[in-house]
Parts: sequence; C-alpha cells; structure tokens
Amino acid sequence: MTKHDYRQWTELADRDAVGDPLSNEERELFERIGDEDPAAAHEREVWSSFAELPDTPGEDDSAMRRLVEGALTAGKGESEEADAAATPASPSPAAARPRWWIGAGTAAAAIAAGLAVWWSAPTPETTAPVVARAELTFSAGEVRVDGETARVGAGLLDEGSRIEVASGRACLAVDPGGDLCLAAGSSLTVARLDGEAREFRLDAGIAVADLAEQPADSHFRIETADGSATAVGTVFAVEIGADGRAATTVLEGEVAVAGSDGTATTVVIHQRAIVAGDVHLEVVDRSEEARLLAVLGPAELWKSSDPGSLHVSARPDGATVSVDGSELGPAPVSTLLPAGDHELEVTLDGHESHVDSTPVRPGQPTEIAVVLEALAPLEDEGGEEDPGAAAEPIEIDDGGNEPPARVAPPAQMLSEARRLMSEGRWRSAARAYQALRSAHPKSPEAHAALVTLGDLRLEHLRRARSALSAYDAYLRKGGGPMAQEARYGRIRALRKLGNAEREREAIEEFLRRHADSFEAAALRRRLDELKK
Amino acid sequence: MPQRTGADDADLGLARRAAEGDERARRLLANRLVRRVARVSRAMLRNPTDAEDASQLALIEILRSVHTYSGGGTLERWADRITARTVIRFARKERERGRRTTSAEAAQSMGRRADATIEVQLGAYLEPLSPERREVLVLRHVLEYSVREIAQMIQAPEGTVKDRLVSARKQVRKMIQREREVATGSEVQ
Repeated sequence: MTKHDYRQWTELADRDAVGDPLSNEERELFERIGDEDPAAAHEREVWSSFAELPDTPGEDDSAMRRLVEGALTAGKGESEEADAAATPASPSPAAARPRWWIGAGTAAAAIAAGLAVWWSAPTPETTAPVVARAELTFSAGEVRVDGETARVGAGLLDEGSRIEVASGRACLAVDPGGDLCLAAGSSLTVARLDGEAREFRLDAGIAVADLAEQPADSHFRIETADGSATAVGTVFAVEIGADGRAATTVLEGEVAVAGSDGTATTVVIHQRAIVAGDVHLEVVDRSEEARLLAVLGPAELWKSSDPGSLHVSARPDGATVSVDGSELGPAPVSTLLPAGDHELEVTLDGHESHVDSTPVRPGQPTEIAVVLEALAPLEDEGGEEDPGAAAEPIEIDDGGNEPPARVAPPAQMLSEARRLMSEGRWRSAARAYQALRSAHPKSPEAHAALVTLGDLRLEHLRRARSALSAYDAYLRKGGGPMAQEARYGRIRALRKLGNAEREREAIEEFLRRHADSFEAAALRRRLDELKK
Repeated sequence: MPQRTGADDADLGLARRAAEGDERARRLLANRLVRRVARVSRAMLRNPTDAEDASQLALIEILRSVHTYSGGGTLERWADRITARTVIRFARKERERGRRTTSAEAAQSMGRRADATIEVQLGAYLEPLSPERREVLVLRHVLEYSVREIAQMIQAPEGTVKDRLVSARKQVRKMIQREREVATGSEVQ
C-alpha cells in the first residue's frame, strides 16, 4: 500500500459519502484499499464510529429531568407551535441553569485544615424544604454496610452508616446530590444527612461523586483527615493515597481549593489538587481520569422510572457478573436495574458460563443463585482436536499476513469457537471468532466466521451495528455459500437499528437474489408494510 | 432462522397511549428519548446552551407529534428525524439572529458538560467545524440520512450539501491523520 493508494481511497470515500455512484471496478478498489491500507482502514473505522452515537455515562441527570419536565409542562394547555419562537418553553432552560461562581471565605473558614473545594450558587431558586436521603444502589464483590453483606433495597442509609468495599465497587444515590461510587479498598461513613448538608467521611480508598446542582444554602461534602471537598455541582474524585494524603481530582467544572494557610487556588477540569501545607496542583492524564470515571460506571444502571432489583450470587468464588454485555464486577452483585428482560452472564475461568435472559419486575427483587460447573479438560471433549495443540495459547497477529508460529491452525480455532457457541458462551465464542479472524485473516474459515459473528452479535450480544458490519464484510469480500444468510442478517440488523429505508433496500436486494427462498414470503409482507 | 415481521407492538402501544394523553405514557416516552435527543442536538450544535434549548424544543415537538408514529422503525429513529428538523430550524433562527453565547456561558450550561454527553472522539472531531459543515456531517454520518434527504431538511441544493460534506470530511480527515501520526508515528499524507 502506498500514499497514492490512500489518496485514491479518500477520493472514492468522499464520492461514496455524497452518494455519487462508483463503478464496479472503483467499488472493488475502494473496498480492497479500505481492507488492506492501515490508514484507510483506520479512517473507515472512525467514520463508522460516528454512527454509534453511543450511550455515554455522565450525562447530567438534572438537565435531562429539566428537559422532560419542560416538555411535559409545555404540552399542557397551550397550543403554539414548538418552533414558533426560538425561545424555549417556560421556564427557559437557559434561565433555569445555575450560575456557578468560585467562592472563598466562609467555606474555607469552616474547614479546619488542609484541602477545601467548593462551589456556591448565588441565587436561591426555591424555598421548598429539602428532604435528604441516601441509599445503596449497587454493590459488586465484598461490600458491607454496617458490617452486614450489602444488599440493594435493604433500606435507606442513616447518619453513621458505614460502607466498606473490600473488593469490587459500590454506589449510593444521594438526594439531593447525585451519585457517589466507591472503588475497592474504600471505607466511607455517612456523617450528616439533612436538607442543609450531605456529608460523608472517607477513611480509605476512592470516592467519585457525580452531582447535580444542589439547592441554595446547602452543600455536599466529602471529608478526609486532611480536609474536605465540598461541591454544589460537579464531577470530582477524592482519593486517599498510599501516603495517606487526600487528593481531589476535578473531572467536570472548576473549583477553588484552599490549603491550610487559607489561600484559594482555582482548579479546573483535568487538574488534581494535593494539599501539603499549601495546595499543589498537577495535571492528570486521560488514563487517570478514565480510571476515576470508571468507578462511576454502575451509577448509570439504576436510572429508570421503573427499576427493580437484581441480586446475583455465584459459586465457586471469583465469578464475574455481566448484565447486557457490561461487566459489573465480582459476585455477589446487588443492583437496581430498569424493569424488563436482561441478559445475565456469570463467568469463571475453567467453568461453564451461566447465560440467561433474566426478567426484572418493577419494584420487585429478583434473586439468582448460580452454581458454575467446572469444565472437563479439552482432552476429554470428543477427541476431535489434537489435545496438545488445543492447549496451546492463542496469540493474535495484529495485521501481519503470516500467523505467529504458536498460533493454532484456523480449523482448530474455528472448532473451538463452535464449541463455545454450542455451550451458549456467546461472548467467549465471539472472542474466539475474532481471534480466528485476526490470526488467519485470509483463511476461508475467517471469511465464513463473519456470518456467524454477525449472528452472535445480533442475537446474543445486542450489537446490531457491529453485526451489520460483519455481514457487510462477508458480502464485500466476495460472499460465498452463506451469502443468503448474510443478506438476511443485514435485514434483521437494519430492522433492529430502525433504519426503515435501508431495510427496505436490503429486502429488495434479497428478493432479487433469493426470490424462491423460504424467507421470501414473509419479507414481501414486510416490504409492503414498509412501503405504506 | 428467527423472523420478526410485525410492527413493534410495545412502541406502537406506548405512542398511542401518549397520543391519547396518558400522562404516564407521555412521561415514559419523554424519559426514554430525552438522552438521545440531547445527544443528537449536542452533536449538531457546537454551543451547549443552544443544544439544550434545541433539545427542549425537540422533545416538545416529539410529544406533540407522537400521534404520527406508525411503527415501521424504532421510536428512536422516528424521534431522530423530528430532532434533526427541530435543531435545523433552531440553528437557522439563531444564525439569523446572530446570537452566540460566550464560551463562559456555554461552559455553565447543562452542568458544564460541553462535550461530555457525546462520544469524546466525535466531539473532538466536530468541535472545529463551522456550524454549516457540522450540521451536514452529523446528518450524514451520525444520523445516516442521504444527501437528498439532507437537502430537503436544510432546504438547500444537493450540490451545496455535497460541497459542505466533502469540505467537512476533509477537515475531519486531517484530524484523523494527525491523530494517527501521533499514535503510530506513521506518516499517512
């Protein structure tokens, strides 16, 4: 591949993007370069990623609630068109937004020593009484509340409640406030819980808070031995390091930090404040921010108007629990989840995975106790493969044409992937098929694996867009005996994605090529529906 | 091979109940769609203050138009189109009025999450684009509308859409290349 190839590819890509037709030769060249040239492949991947518009953690829940309430209110008793004025519904979202300012003085004076971080909201927006509460919403691993094994739904936390996370993670929902999650090794006590203050004491570990705006004259604070971090609205982490010093990292917004001498320093996003007499500032890198934000991950789970709770225990120890493809942590897991069916997967190396659709009912607990059975050694499984070779580790060749010497042959890797499929170990099977494609990209087995990979992603992993990519790749690379299935898979993936126009096109193409297939009659009916 | 050819009854049922004024259904619908509406608005508009205002208008419009949902696709895809149209109208009016909030105001909006609610990389690529290029790029590559559909939506000739799209792609491509050069040490241009 040369620079000329890449430039040629970009020209074709731009033409394709604007809908200009490419000749068969141009299409073939476009796809070949896209597959073989690393720069083109990378760019293609970036463009594909645009369409994901993924669910991302950390959206401001209060802003979302404000939007919903604004829309519901606007729909009552007024009839003007939404776009008749560029001014949004009353109250204006812009007007409702808090105006933050960096304060000093009172908060600093209130803190005996060390670190102080705070915001203040200058204008009270409501005089309604504030009711405070805190509740465990997630626990995974060895988590105890007041010495008892943690369980979501066991009741509200009181002042004095102590949460200890020996392994795994735990999250609390605090009202008014937001989410407060604790990493492994953390110990936190609810110090005060009322309308004026939500205060927590962190004795060890990492606490990450994702806060909505706080009522005026009210604060949310995490105290440590060195001082405290007080916020009205932001995302920040307080961490007690190995040296016992507390560091506050600002992940959203900006804050003022006061050292023991009372001087205030502005700390902005991407900075960390460490107090050692005075305030020492340092810039944190992305990986550090990602590490802290990851602690907040489970907080997204319970945000639903109709949650139920799911409690998963597993034997033997050490099993990992995933829900809907997201790893939650080590068993036992106790969490709130939106009501509905969820794919539960419990895995442990060397054991048969538990994969099942698990219904969660609104307001009801769902108890799942899993016993994972040890897998028989590969040597005992039917004797299809050479036992010695099966035990060889799989190494992934990232881009080379020739597999490394220790990689298993493609037929063996395919067989292993099929075995995982037959056992219902969907994620493991998907990984095995991907390993095959990486290790032997030009093999017929890797080509055929694309359709199965598409089916896996579509039917078991809820990844319709990735499934579509797999089917497209199979057809793009010449198709083969599974082309009919790949085309049918495309239709199903596009339907799941809700893209009616492309689904219609895919059905029309399918019917042109496979008019006598058994799916044809149903697809014609579907086509009629889409054309209505 | 599993086959599903009927309409999505759950979505249709929810939409019908909402259209009939069932408050619980309206709330469920709004709660389900609000984050996606906010993401689409945020992707299309650089200024988060504008994005929040446009999100509000879009959500109102979605609730008002819910009687038009007839299945044939997910509620989300149906809502995308309403959101896109609403954001386009909003942006046009804002451009006509020449209104621009300051970056300080922008940082204060929606809990100071300027680009946190859209995928970080996507936000970084969109940030330097002009509003016109950004709008077209998002409609084409995020919401996957055809050039013809985009031309109808923004009421511009297809040629204009193509020009803006190619210009936007070239601008983003330079960023992709620079990023790759930094990541791999390789030169691609």
